[in-house]
Amino acid sequence: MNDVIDRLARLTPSPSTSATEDAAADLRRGHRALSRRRIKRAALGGAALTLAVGGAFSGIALTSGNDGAPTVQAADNVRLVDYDGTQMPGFTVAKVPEGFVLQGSDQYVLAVARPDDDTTVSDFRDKIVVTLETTASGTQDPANTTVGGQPATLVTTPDGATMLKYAYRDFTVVIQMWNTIHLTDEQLVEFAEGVEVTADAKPSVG
Amino acid sequence: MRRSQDAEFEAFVRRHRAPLVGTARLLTAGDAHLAEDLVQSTLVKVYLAWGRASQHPAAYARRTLVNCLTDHRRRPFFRREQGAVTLPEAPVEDPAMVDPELVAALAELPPRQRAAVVLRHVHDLSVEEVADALSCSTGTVKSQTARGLDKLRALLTPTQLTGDSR
Repeated sequence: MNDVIDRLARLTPSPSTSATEDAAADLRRGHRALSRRRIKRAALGGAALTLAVGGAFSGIALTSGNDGAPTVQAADNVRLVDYDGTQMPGFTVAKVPEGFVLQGSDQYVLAVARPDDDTTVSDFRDKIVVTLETTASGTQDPANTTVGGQPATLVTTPDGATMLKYAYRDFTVVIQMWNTIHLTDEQLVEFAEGVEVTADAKPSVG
Repeated sequence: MRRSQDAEFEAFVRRHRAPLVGTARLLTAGDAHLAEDLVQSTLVKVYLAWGRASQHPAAYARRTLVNCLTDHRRRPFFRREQGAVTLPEAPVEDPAMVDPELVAALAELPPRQRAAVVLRHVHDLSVEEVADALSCSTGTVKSQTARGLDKLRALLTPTQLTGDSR
């Protein structure tokens, strides 16, 4: 059974490269990228400052009550809201956690994240992600809830993330919620019931 | 300050570039040119983020490499030009690849599953290190790796001919 593992272990390639020349070239590319970034930041700096000052005044107006005390939303009190923004190829959603947006998608994954999250879609931390698996690779855990009347499995991973799996047409939908997002199990099921899989989506496991 | 960072970065590149290219070649299923492009992009990003990357630069570079590959696959030109399902013959031409059949089988895995298998079993990273590189949970790494190995075994097992023994 370990034949494939042994063959993989022997794969370790060691391309012949000129380390010194490559390192110098990589450093030059780094310098150029740094210069480009500085130029871009300098150009955007004025506009950003203007927005920041404007935003600060707006923020004060929006978060101050009549008594002048700022209103702070409890981190644990996340609620689901209807999503009326642009949908992404692969998956559509009816609801998202308040303050979250569809960060992006491809044929394998849809990521729901906070608006200031600048990580790539394939980074699952601090997000809810929706993926597809082939039914053959489906869950071994027994169903303990339902999504749209169909049996579903809700488990907590060793990392504290919550994973919801349920059959959808010929596939298994897998929704993973990172442990920094505090939707209840019922809310996660409600989120799942608003997810539609389009023809663009492909299983990431199979 | 910048000069000392440059020296640290250069030392890192001298030590880790070749393994990184090796990883990239496996992640791209033997496409040496794409692997080199991805490594160059990765190292630029590592350089730009050296302040926070320098704590664990190898792990940061691996994570960035996987992200660069994912980003590359999302680009419109990649989607337009990937109509064929046949594997380019690059693995056979690449002398660094000692097992072209296995590399071809790796190419059949979905990208993240392939990355999990390569990082776990070729580079012998721990489940936690692979989870960090792929930005997912350790449970996901275990399931992706197990399924990837199953699929590789299925692909590499010769088809048994069945029939009458007469």
